[in-house]
Amino acid sequence: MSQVAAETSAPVVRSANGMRRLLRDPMGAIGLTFVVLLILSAVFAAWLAPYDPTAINVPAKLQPPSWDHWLGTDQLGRDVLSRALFGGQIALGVALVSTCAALGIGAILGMAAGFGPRWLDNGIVLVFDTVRAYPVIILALAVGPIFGAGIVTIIGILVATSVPYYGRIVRTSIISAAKSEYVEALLAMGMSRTRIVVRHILPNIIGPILILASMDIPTFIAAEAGLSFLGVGVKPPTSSWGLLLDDGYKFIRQSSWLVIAGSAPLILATLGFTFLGEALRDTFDPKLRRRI
Amino acid sequence: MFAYVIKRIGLGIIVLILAISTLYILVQAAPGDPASAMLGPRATPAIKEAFRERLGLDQPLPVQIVKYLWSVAQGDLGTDLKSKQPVWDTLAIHLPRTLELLAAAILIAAGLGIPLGCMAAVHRNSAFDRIVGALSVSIIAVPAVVIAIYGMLIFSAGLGWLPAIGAGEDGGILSLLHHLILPAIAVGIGWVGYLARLVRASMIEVLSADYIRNARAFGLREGRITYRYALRIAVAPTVTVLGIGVGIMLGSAVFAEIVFARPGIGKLMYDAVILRNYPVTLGAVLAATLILVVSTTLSDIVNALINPRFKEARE
Amino acid sequence: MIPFRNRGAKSASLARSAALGMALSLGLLAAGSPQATADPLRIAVPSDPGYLDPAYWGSTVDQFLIDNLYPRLAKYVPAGAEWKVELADAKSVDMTDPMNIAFELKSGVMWTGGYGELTAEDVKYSFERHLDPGLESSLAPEFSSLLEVEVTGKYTGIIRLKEPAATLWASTLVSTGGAIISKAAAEASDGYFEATPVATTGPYMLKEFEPGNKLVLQRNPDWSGETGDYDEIVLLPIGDENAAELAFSAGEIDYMRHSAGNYDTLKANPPEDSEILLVQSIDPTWLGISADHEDLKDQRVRRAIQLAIDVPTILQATVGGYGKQATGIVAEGLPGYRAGKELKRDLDQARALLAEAGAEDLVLRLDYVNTTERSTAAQIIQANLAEVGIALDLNGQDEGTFWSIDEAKAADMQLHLKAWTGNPEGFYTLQYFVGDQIGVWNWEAFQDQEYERLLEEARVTQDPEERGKIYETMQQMLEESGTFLFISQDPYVVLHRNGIIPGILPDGRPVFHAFKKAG
Repeated sequence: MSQVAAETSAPVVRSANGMRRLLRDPMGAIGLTFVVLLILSAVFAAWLAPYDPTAINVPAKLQPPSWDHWLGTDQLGRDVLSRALFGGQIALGVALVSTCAALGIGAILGMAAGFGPRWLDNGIVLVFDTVRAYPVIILALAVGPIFGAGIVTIIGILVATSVPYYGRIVRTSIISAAKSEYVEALLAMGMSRTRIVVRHILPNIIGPILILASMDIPTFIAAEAGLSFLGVGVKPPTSSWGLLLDDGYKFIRQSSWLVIAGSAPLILATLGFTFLGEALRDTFDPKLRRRI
Repeated sequence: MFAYVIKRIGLGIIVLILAISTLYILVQAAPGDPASAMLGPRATPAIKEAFRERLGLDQPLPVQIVKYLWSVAQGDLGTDLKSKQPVWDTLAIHLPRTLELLAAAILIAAGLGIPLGCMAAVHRNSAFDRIVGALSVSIIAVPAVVIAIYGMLIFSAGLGWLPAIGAGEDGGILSLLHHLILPAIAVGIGWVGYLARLVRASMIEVLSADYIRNARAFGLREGRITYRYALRIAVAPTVTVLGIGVGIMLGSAVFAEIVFARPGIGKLMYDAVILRNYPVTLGAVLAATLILVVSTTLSDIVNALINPRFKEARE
Repeated sequence: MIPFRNRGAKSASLARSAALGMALSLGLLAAGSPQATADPLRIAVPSDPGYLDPAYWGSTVDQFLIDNLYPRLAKYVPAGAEWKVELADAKSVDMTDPMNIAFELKSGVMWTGGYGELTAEDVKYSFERHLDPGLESSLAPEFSSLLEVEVTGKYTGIIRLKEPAATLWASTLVSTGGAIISKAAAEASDGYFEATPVATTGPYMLKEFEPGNKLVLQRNPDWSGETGDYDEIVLLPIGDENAAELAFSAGEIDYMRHSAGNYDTLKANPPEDSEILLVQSIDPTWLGISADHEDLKDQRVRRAIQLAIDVPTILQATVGGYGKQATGIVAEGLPGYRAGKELKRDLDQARALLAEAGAEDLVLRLDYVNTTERSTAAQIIQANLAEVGIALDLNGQDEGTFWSIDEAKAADMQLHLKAWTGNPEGFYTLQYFVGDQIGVWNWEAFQDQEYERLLEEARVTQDPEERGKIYETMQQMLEESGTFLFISQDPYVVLHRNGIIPGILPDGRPVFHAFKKAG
């Protein structure tokens, strides 16, 4: 279970000409392009979308892509491109908020466990292990309806199930760093533990953790889409990639365009973020291993 | 080593108990009468009364949890509100279908991923290696639900080669396998890339190790070295990775089962959630959690057996 | 699948059958290829059964399982577009005296599970139990004219009525409400059973039930009457009709109902080895607007909701060009149809009514069965109401959950989109919108003394055309109260495998033993 964590020691981010090296990797260049385009399209969805994503135009339902509707229309004649653009806001929003929250909480708990008293460490690790005992999607499916389907519930579940992952990495890094002669020397000099963690350990481990987190973004995007697809996530009329996928799935025999267009943003986003994450890892810290 | 195994199993049991208790508290936190929440609107007063009595809902929460754990430990997961059968009976119908699916997915992942990784390592930096590398990353990225839907779009709705629905339980072993192909690919294909990369990396490491060089010096054929010695060692990490990966595969299985309307834990849970059939929902989560805890515990133990350094690395 | 809800099917008399000008004909159905489909016959159904007790049935599946598994005096039989009634498990029924209907059962109709023979005692028990207030039978209104059933012999009895309600016999007793259960079996199970009935009769009997997966019927070895061609019939619960279509085109099912909006695409791209039929129905679909809910108590708010919704667009999206906006419960061509009374959308008036009522920032919930067709309609309603400033929370449910009702749910009814099984006689739907049915089937909480008076008048009016006139007034009252927005009598598509001759009633409900293998 701690395989990932075990390999995250002694990390140094060499970022001098990192960007150039990242772009020289074709995977990195493609990934970065996708991701930048996605972020821009989500941020400027309101300007870019050719139609109101909720505007119903039944006579134009289930149309294949055309000049009027680049990605065609759905069963209510809504413009799929516009819905995809606004769905991007939800997808990226959920992924970003979940990542930041999970990272933040995980880091705090990980530091507390790594540098705190033994009983606290044991307690926190046990909580981590317990949470990781649940298969994420299955837990979300069971717990989602209890707290009511919606974005907040999705984020809550994603954060709760991801905290242990980051927490463990931070904890292991701190424990191994604490054993280093350098830290022992700082302690001997009378520097406080908190100060050592914040000033000397954290800056060293933050880089690899950010890279790992970037590799998690596609997982979060896929989870939001999947849960919305299952009906325990985002609800209409809000647009979500998962709902697009659901519409496409329902009308798979009537129109294969809807499922192809509806799944395109999800595929591009997960590919883009994965490529970028892998390239970041290869460029800056090849020993990191992807989360499973 | 023995002590470690015992310790690890003990930890697995503690984690399982905590996980079940947490789940119980979560359901209790649902608004409304817990008996109604757990049993749904269809439950008769008699059923509700029996439920209250069994779990002692008027007693303090810790007592309730202990009672609940005790009944779970005895295999009593409550009564399926739809069929009026014990939840355990319902699970017994669906659990094998999911295990089947997971096994087939692992077979696909290992059956394709290990040879691909192996060949990529042998032909390092060749065009083949690069293609496998790029494909691996791409396939890992695509969510299982998308793969399931495209599988259906192309092979069921489009070409009509593979069944779109069900597990084919009534048609004998061939029918079962026929129905298993698309869902298993949806669950397993992402792991092909993952395993290929893992095997490639560890193969490269192993192939450059001293004893392999020695073997070469003794004049063993290259093919024999690669496939008899190096591969055996390089495959070890995949076992543990798959063990941990069962959690994600269970999630993918939910989608595969729903897209293909295939009986299984995921489909069962999905239906139970919609029907507010809480005992079945809880039973299914428990089963899935049990599968995951057992597989992670086993993979940790296997890992420790293969690689004694691992357990020390833990602390 | 179109969820449909029967409140007692109907036809005016045994002799009369309503020709409704439907597209369905047996000749058309028989045009199959020589490739006979093998056993078992696999039928897609919208859900698992919930209650197979006639007193509590709720969903489509409950309904046709009850119709197929229990004996009755007379029943509807497949006859193309006609609602044709024949004697079933009765040798004779004498209706010369409208207050006293004498019947004689066939001998040797055996209950499954060793519960013996069908007797007049069973008839008495089955009908009179609906009058027991303790049972809280949802069929109570249909039996309100029943005084008692007098048993005169092992197989003979007389159904005594309080008033000459000719329609009780002609509709209630021949449809789901007329199902007879075994007294001994019901008593053995404390009178409470759900999806697994203790004793049934008929050509098929329950073999196994795996909730969420399948329900299998097999030939009843003890049945001596008419039998079907298939040894086994498998009902596969597939909640969404598009998922069912996928299963159909993959060869996994043999018969299904689909929404008519798919007719053109299916015709253009038919699944292999299949027949596609467009069938008109008389199933009323409407939006119920509960008058009991806090935010909907003001009639102006309810009327505003009616006026804000764009029914023609809903029909275009759900049933293509094949649906016609409804003007009431009664379908076009039947006595009681309100010709030319389609409600027109009027956003300005809707906004004005809302402003007048001081209703601002309303947030309401819409319940519906989560099929593609219904959720499509629901999303249009959501968009329509957003235009007048009402936010709608969509609450799609599975068929079983949607139709089951308890106190908490009844108290929290807001908007709901639904269809009931249609019937040639308007009475048997209209009789449910009375005060006594609030919290049972009157989800709209519509209540009006004049309406209830008209209902009693219609009950004893012998002339169908005159009854129709009364129904027109009653439906107008429903609409003007703001609790009903009539949407359509949805047409639908039947998809079946070549080589099968479906045995179905005019509204597509399967009659299992009437399914035949061609050739």
